[in-house]
Amino acid sequence: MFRTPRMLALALVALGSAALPAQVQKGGTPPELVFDKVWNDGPATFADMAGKVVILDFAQTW
Amino acid sequence: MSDENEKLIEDTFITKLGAKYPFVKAKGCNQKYGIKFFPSVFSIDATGVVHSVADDRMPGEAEIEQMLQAVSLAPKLPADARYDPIRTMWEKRDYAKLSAYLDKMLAAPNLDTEMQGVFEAQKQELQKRVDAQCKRAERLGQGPDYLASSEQLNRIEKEWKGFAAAEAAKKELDRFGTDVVIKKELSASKALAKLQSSFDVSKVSQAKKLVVELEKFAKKYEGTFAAGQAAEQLKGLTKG
Repeated sequence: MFRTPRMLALALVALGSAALPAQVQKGGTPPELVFDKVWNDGPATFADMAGKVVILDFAQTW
Repeated sequence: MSDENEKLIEDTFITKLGAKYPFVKAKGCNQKYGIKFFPSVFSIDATGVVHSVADDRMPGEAEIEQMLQAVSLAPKLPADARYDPIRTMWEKRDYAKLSAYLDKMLAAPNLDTEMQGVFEAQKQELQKRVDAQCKRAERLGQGPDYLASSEQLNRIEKEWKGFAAAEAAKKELDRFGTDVVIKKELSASKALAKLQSSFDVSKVSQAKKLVVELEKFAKKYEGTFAAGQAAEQLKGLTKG
């Protein structure tokens, strides 16, 4: 799924405690995130993904 | 965002699972996106609008292709008609022509300072992309899906003809043609693709036949990446 520079697939590691649900809605603006650490040549900041198709995949370690 | 340390993330996703795509640790991300289950997938289109949320079906290949249509391949340029030829060359991925054009413009006498700055920045951007494609070719050369890698390397070689990236892709492709292990991997992947295309899994009888063939395949090509893929498909077909 991550075939061209135009598209960016990001696995965001969401760990730890359950969170209060936020409302991210279709057609809305995605909440901006602060990146603490990036692997595999990912974008340095959330803003660096502007203009690209982004797939955010929230994962969790077990 | 994370209560766990980076080492755990790195050990789990990068080292053990071998993730090759960008991975990010972002504090508070699950809270900000209201994550209720894992994995949760969101897609964002090129205009910065949320296209799908975790409760939706994940966007399919065709949907993603459609979203990609709106993405500009050109880097940021001043909104000025003087730079339209550059924009067009980026969009057409005509990098050799773009490079020659930029060299020509930069060599022109009486070039104003603003244009010179823009052209130099474009040269740098082009070089940055060449470097990125060189690294990508190197990564693709490491497999494990050598069949998919060879398709992408062929594309890089064609698209970046005349640049170091094309040479890097060719180097990897040449190695694919001589390395005994990679040749075995390629032949296994091709055999698997052929096998999969011979059965219509929407029909129960054919799905059953495919299960038998995949079992044979996994044994015959044991240890290859394709055998692993066959095993994964078997799991899916025999589940329930």
